[in-house]
Amino acid sequence: MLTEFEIQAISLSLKVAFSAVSFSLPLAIVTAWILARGNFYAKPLLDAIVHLPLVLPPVVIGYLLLIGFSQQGIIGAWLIEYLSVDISFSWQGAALASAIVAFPLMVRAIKLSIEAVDSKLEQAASTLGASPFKVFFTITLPLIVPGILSGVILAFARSLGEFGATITFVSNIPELTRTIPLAMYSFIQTPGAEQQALRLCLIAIGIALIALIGSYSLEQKMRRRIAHQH
Amino acid sequence: MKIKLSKQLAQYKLEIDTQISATGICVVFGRSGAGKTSMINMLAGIDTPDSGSFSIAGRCFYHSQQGINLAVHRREIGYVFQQARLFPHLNIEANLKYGYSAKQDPGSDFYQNIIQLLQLQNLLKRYPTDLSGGEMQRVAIGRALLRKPKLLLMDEPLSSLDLPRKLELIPYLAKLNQQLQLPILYVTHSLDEVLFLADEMLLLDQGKIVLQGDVETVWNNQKMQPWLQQNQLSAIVHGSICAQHQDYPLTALDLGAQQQLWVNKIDKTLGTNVRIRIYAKDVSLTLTRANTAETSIRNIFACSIADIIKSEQNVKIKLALADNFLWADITLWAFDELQLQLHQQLYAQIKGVSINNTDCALPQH
Repeated sequence: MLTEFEIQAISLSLKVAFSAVSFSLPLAIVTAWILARGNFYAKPLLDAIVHLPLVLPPVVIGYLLLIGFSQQGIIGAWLIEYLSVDISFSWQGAALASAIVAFPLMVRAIKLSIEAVDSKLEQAASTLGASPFKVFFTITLPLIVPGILSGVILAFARSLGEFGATITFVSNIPELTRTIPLAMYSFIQTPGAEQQALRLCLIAIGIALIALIGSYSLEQKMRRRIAHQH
Repeated sequence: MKIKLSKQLAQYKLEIDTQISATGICVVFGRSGAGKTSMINMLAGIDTPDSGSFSIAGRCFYHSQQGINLAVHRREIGYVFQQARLFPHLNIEANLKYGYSAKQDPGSDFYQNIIQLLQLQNLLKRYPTDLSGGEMQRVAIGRALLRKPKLLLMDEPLSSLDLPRKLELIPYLAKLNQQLQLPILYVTHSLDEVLFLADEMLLLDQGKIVLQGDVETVWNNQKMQPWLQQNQLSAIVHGSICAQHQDYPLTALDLGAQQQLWVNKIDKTLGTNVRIRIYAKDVSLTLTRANTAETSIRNIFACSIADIIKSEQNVKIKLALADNFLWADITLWAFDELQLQLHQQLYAQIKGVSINNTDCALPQH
């Protein structure tokens, strides 16, 4: 039913999006917690930096990544020398681009849910002898699961749709970096491939719908489980 | 327990310097904004005082000069808040066991005892959302106790409940006080809770302790007047059950000096100590003793006038009666016609039916 080319694009897209989301999630939770609860001088600056990818043109991000992470780039050269990892023109590079572009969306959703946690519950937990560490993992974290979930879904969706930063940073290489949007772009550029473009378009819509419906029902279930008492 | 704390608050400076006994319920009483919650928040470590010290049985929790300030979770001080603050994502059993480590006392039946004392058996598998306000507060109390605190702080734990729930919870609190050797600091602005629960009482106003002592002494003190008048002026008398009426549902209390007070039946054994609240509106005065065969009044006491407080509407007379005090509310008209004087001997009449079980408590200590 699906052509090999389509299967390649789909699996590459999913792989890129999954890695982008799972690797940036812990950092997003920490960042969201600092932004929600922290009280320090440089907070507005941190907030601005976190939100920058949301407002910058993706091509700018791709360009910056190219400067930083290409084989000649400062970080890229370091990675090759000390860790023997080269992420330029690879699916890992596409994942990095997706992660950066999706990061603010994830942080925002999680930050909102942390702000909604009743700090009186955390206070009660500490009077019961729980260290701040225990309070976070037994009270705060379980209560923000719905927020984390919606952040993950948003970031996942944004990753699937990532185009500008990816094509700038890791180019459009079949089997390596040609995700669904890039594949579609190629079809549109090719005369007579309108039908293939349309098929990919429908596939993209299908994936998005499945993800959204799945996340909605999961979130409902979570919310019921941790329904607030007031 | 030694407390010496000071902290500048928005309106005034909180300054507390006192000692509180190691068992029983000490009620911290005062109007809202008097600094009651600020005080116990500092004891719990939630707020930090500007200076002072705080220790229980020689163990120091806070000492500004020695730089000691134990974090909340290291203080071993239980806290029951106004709202139960149960963790919504955990069931009741998990809530109860949150601060409880069974490893610390293997083979102990402490957990079972608390469950039984607060009757939580049937709630264990349920979630906080399924519980009534009274049940939630019972769980919160159990959860705080299972932490095995050295001191239990309770911040108006009944104020969020309606009257039937309050009455339902009070016996649990009294039982708790009786069965556990644990000092409890109980914040409230309800006189009912003072009457039913307090062993000791501490009156706080503008961040300072105005009065401290046993309930009868503080209640009957001049400085309690403003609080008592806000509701209805009343006095607390203490006595012990000395007789049950053979034919009628009435109980006689011995107030000392051969004075007997008949009240609605209290179903306890002879000799039980009782604390009774008598409202000033239920006390009337006569100059000569009425013959009990000719009046419906059962309680007539010889007493003397200890104080007279005149206001525009009425006169409040404080009466000394054995080692108790009473308040009587009379009109200016009656006051002038009877020509009452300080230290004058006269008779107080109290309607026995006006005293029922919401006015009588059984002190635990």
